Amino acid sequence: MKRRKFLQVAGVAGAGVAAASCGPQDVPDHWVPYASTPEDITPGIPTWYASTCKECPAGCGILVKTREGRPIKIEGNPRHPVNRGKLCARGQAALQGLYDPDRVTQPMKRTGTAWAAITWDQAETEVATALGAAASAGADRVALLTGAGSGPLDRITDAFTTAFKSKHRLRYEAFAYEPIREANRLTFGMASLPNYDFGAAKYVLSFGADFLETWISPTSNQIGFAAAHSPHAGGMAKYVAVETRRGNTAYSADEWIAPKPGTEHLVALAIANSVAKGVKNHVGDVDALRGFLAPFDSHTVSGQSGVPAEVIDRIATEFAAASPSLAVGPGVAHQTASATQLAVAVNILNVVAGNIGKTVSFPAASVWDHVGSFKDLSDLLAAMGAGTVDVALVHGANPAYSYPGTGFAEAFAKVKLKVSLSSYLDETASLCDLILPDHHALESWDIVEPMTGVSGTVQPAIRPIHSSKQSFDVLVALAQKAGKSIAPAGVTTAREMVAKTAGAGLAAQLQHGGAFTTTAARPVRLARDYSKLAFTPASFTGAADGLVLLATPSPMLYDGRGANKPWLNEIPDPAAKITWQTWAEIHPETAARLGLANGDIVKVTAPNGQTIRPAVYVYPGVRRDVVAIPIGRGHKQYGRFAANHGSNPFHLLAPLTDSSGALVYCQARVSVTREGGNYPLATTEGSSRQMGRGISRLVPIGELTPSHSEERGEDLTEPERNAIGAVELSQGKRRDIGVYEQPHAKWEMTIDLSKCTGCGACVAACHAENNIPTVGPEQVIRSREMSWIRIERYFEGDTSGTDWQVAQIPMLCQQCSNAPCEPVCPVYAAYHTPDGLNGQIYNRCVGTRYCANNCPYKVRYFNFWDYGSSIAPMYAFPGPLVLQLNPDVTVRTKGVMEKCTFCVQRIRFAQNDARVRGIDLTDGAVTTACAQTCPSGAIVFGNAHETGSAVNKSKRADANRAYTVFEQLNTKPGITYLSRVVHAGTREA
Amino acid sequence: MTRNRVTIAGGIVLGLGAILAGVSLARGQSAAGDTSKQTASDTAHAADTTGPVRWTFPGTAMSGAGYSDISHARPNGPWPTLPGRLKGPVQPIFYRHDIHAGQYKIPCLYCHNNAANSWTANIPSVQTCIGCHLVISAADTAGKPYPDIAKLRGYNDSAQSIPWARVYKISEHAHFPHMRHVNAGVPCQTCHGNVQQLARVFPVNDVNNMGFCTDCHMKRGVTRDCTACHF
Repeated sequence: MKRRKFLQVAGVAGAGVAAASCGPQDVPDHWVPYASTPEDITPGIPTWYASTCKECPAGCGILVKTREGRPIKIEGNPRHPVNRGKLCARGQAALQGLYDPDRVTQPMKRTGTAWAAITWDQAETEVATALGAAASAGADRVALLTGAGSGPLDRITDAFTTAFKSKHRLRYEAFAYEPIREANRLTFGMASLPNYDFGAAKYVLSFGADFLETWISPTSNQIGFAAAHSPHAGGMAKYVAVETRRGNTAYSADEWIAPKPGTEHLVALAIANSVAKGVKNHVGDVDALRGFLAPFDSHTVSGQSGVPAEVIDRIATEFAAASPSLAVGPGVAHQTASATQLAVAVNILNVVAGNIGKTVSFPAASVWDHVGSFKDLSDLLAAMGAGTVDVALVHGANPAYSYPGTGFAEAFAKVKLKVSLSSYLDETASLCDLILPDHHALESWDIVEPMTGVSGTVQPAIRPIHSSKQSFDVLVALAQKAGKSIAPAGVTTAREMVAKTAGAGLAAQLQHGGAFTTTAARPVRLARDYSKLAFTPASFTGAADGLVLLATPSPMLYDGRGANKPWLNEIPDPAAKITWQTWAEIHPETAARLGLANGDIVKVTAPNGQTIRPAVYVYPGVRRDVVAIPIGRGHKQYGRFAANHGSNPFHLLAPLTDSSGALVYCQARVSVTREGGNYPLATTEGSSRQMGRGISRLVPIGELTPSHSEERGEDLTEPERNAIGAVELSQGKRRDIGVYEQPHAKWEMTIDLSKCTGCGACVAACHAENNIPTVGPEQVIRSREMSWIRIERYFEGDTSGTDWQVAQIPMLCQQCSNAPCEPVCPVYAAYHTPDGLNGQIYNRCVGTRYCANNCPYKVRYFNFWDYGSSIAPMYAFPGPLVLQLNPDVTVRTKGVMEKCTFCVQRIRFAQNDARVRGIDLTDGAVTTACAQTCPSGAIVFGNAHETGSAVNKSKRADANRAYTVFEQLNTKPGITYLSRVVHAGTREA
Repeated sequence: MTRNRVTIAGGIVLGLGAILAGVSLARGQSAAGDTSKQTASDTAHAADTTGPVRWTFPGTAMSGAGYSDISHARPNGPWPTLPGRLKGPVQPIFYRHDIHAGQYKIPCLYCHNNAANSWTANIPSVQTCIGCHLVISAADTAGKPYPDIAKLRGYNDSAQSIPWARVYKISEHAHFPHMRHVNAGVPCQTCHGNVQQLARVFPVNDVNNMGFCTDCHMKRGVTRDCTACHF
């Protein structure tokens, strides 16, 4: 217990204050102050801790906002070189992993199917005894299976298996990018993942890489991509997506090319061939490749892939002309049997275009260097199945969910003692004999090194909530009890290890979130080992008339690990806009052929006989011969929010590997048959077309001139102008209605749709900041979702082919100066504040819902249930989830209308803070939660009364593409949108 | 005809209701009429209208149920006499503001220091109490330990928090920035009453009555924007 005292947080006090801030009826009878005042906590003022996100291997830096000792929000760390102050939705939802009501609270032992609590000492003694016995029984009888890890603490765990004479030490990730690593070994001689500089690329050619969703380091990718792929002084990068399914990442694409499944690598080689032909000078590497590339001419490949030869040649010309450019791929969903070949082809593309060292550079070491392949897991399972493994410890991985078929459970059952170090009772943990629960990352110490030069510290932001113990400490203790020593002298805990590693720099590293240095990239030379691969179209199992199954990584749930977090379940999938469910994306023509409509339940049967039953989502973004099913749901265990929602496409896969040892995700043609029955999709999509309303606008780059908005002409029709004129007369010609004089601020926002990728990070930030309840699938079906900001997604153009665009727009309260909601409120709950906000006073609201009916933007949300009351049936914050609530924001009760107020609590906090310090509120001192986190930097917030403010600058700089939504309604919104600029496409809107 | 009857009946009901309401209102006033309400707001009103207001120790002492007489209290003198009747919730330790703030004139912010820089005015930790009581008033002159100091030391020895009964609770839909008010020179007594005369603290003002807030805000000409407090 002593080591937990470092934070000096009185848990009782935290809990007391927590109870005080939520649950409207239950007024606590007592104030429970701290027994001794913690130095770093002022009640009512947040304390921030710099740490590192461990939700995926990317290793982004985070700042954890705590109030009275409990984390309430996570924001990006501006000092961190990976994510530069930004954070994705998954990173922010780490809070809900910490406060998961179904966490394992203490060590437990399984008897049959029943779990019984045991003490830490009992548990450790039992495991240590078994470990000792296994080591004396022979070599390789102990296995340690973890997720991706890096840094000094992770390295010490290698000594653990060595100490017990075993080589079974595997770092397993479901998304492990083995094809790319293997291709890099074959082409460049290093089995590692490079850094991709999307910010420097003038042309991005992606072969199925979902680089804005899950691919390698999505937040870092998005920061660079949004900067390059929006209009700026140096032009605007073009992005061409070559993939069989257009997902959220490819929504930002200027052009979508959908080759026949399994021929992506041939398309890449044909483009490379065409580029190489154009390289007139004799460049050593290019010359070496000419002979290899010769067979892949655009006409041959056109026949194989269905991509017209002129398209291949045109892309090649553009790709070569834009220097530096960048080719990336494959993404996990598109790992066919030829995945390594595709990765090799992508490397060759980057070589012939001269991108190596410019947009593709190799750090000296990366977190991925030590991650095993799917084949390594299969080999370990074979050893387990043969009964040669006596003790297996699993930490940070859930292979029972992500291993195809039922092979894992069968082999794992042969292990004599199975120990889970998981914080959650997931599928793998429930197969184990013992659970020794780990701390959550927000309770832990660690040093994470995602790549050379980036050493991010992980420090606790809260005292452990449950009787858990950090797995590093457990491993050290187990070794010690078995008479081994794996840690340096004097080190028994992760905290001591971090302190020892950091040495004198500890304080600085804890304050800054780590130590960051710039290191030189490794030089790269072209190797020739790839030539022994067979470059033929990938084959698929199953009947030829089946649909090719794409199991797609979920941008919210990742490989399924996000499914226990209600935010990630309820924030709609950026592409399908569906929540809480598993769906099967089927092209409209295929759906018509099979007689399927939205919500129809289908039986998807894999060649191996396995079936799942998702609901159909008719979607033009997949090829006619493809069915796409998202990964992430279909859990049998993993807590109340994950279990029994949706279905798991891993069931449909067989454990096939490609030449890199990767799981072939895209391996089978499946049969899709109507099962009978239908359930409504829990979707937030209203219409997929804008019907000429001009909500989200696209401008072809050719039409974007300095005077574009004038040329575009008047948006309003004659009758609209007349009507507005009449209204203004009746309002006393107050053109500036709703705009107050200085010194009041006028808070405004601009949202650059050229930067917005629709990722949903802003939505997660809004949930965290504003205590927005999650309502569950049944309520979403009734359109009762509560998210104050949503990403609307519309298709533009003829979606029967591939030549169409996606228009996305974050829609939140527009803070209209001439707001339709305000005059209809009978009790003045909706009113205009002097600083230009549409205030919404919850305690005044009587729930007439007139305001929502009169809102043209549909951004007001009504509490149909008492989501905030612990005794109500729809309580949204069960168990410790209540500790996440922001005490600065009222938890709304039943019958109350709520909506975005530009994070007015953040504004008031900053204003009060400035006043108390006697300083002026500077531009940038206050920003909304959505703008703070947006990895694209699409949202700019500030005071429009301040001439030099960022929001004014952004409006002026891009005046030619600035517009307000529904201008004809004369609402005078406070949000200005900047049209999205595309390299192709129409301006239909 | 029927309609008229209904109307008349309704009128009678309404009238009766009004009378009853009036009676209960009057009663409420006289019940709270031990002047606490009026005097507290008088203090604020007397403090005048514009600009920051400097608090001066109120010249007129409160009297009535719950108030101690501290007019003759001197440091190291005898403790103020307890009033005939104590009001407010019973606390785990009989902490007397009339001794600390009244007799010894310890500033409010000595213990409630966060009121100057945070939204919440903190309740002091045991550490704060023991900072003085390690040496002060452990026992009376006869060497007999004071029972409440002994309790305090008990909490300190076991590192336990003191579960104080809550006196003021502002509704959760309102957010009160203590630091703005303290920094503007609004005396604590404006809302909390003459705490320095209270042997046991009781809610002198109904801080959840929004009129109590807006009265003062209008007199001072400061913000009346709803979202200043409600969000």
